[in-house]
Amino acid sequence: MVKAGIHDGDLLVVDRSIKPRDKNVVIAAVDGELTVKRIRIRKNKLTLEAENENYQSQEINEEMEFEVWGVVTNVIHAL
Amino acid sequence: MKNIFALVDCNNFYVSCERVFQPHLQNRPVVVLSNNDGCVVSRSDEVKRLGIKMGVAFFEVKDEAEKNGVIALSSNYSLYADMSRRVMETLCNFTPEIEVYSVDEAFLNLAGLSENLTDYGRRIKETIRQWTGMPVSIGIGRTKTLAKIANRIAKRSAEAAGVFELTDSTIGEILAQTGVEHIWGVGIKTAIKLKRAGIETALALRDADVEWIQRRFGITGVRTVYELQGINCYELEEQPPMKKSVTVSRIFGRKVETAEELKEAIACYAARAGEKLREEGLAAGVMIVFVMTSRFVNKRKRYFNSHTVTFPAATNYTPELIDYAAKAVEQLYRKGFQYNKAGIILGDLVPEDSVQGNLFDEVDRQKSRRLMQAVDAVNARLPFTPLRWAAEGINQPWQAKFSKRSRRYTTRWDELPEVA
Repeated sequence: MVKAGIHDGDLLVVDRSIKPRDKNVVIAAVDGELTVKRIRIRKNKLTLEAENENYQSQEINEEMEFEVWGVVTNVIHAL
Repeated sequence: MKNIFALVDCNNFYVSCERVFQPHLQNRPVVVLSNNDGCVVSRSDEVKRLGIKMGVAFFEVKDEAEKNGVIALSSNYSLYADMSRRVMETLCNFTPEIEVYSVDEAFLNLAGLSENLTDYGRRIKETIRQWTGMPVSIGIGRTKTLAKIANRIAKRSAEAAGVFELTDSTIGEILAQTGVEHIWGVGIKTAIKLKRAGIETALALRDADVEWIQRRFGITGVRTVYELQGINCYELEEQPPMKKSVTVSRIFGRKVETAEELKEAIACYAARAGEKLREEGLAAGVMIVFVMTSRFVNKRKRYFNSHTVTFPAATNYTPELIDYAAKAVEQLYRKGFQYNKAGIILGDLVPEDSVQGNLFDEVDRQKSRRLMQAVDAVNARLPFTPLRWAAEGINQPWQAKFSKRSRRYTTRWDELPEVA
């Protein structure tokens, strides 16, 4: 998530009470694993973008177990 | 105004806490075990369907569990306590009238609400789910007893999907389906007596002869009948009653044989008990210290003994508690036994501000109170317990084992969940 300003080892502030909207950075549970991604919500299509050239976007399909765990609101980066 | 009670109950609470931070445990059979990984204390629905019972010793069902891929976790009380707090705080957004009934249950009074109650219940359920990740079931009725019965339906009926309201049109049918043993406050013995007398369901109990109930079961029985009729006998208890005693006792991680280790353990429990007292603003007049071996060893190797100390003046000063506790252990300790549990019970509790002074008191009360405030403040702020009393020992080899405990995700900076 380097392009979103999130680096390895950073602390994330997550607000579970926010309903996720298009382009939010979220913590998602995908097939039982927690991951941080930018969510794209378009008609009939959910995509998770890694914001990193080395990783591909991932489309969520019906066979996957998927849940938005919370919306990331802040990042704390060590200097 | 008529009361309307809602009972909000977390589903499989400990297991659900674990699943919030470990989503891979979702839809898989999971159990949480008690101290020292002894007994099953929380089960996922998948485990319940396997027929593994609540409270059984885990070793008894280990083969069965392994065969079915059951994941067993040690209990993580820091996590559960914090998740409980989150759920209860969220509930406070829905009504000012709330009684925290246990770690995973709360009664709400929803009287005077103009919104449809089932809809309101759904909103509560969904909000708790989103804000905390905790799945809950909600039962709604005119009394606490009826809310409890409604909650059972909320959990069981697929149609209810977690929220059920007992209305005038549904109540008869539901009470007829509910066995007396499932009524709040009816114990096993009472249930057997009732059934022998031909009263098998909640409906039959509701319509029973009150005078006969009074004679057979006393006033508590009568209250239950009235509650089933929709007449309030149990109000919401918003202020928890003042604690009558504070107990800290644990089973050791391994057998303890020396007086030194036993003293260390007791000192540690005394320190924790002191902390609990001060959290509640209380001081104790007496302390009971007990030590015991396993009940399951050969009779000649069995030992249980306790020692009661009456303090010169009620106290919550940890060094004093530790001092007296250590002396008690000296009295209690017998060589040649393998101790597996010890504990401290503090009784005769009084508010610390109303402690009766003692003319011959040797402790500077003002100074000791300031010291304890400082210690508690430091310990509360940091992720480990940095300030401990030397008597508690350093390595504490007797501590219980939590071999499969998850991280304390919400209360320790160094154990936060990590994501990829």
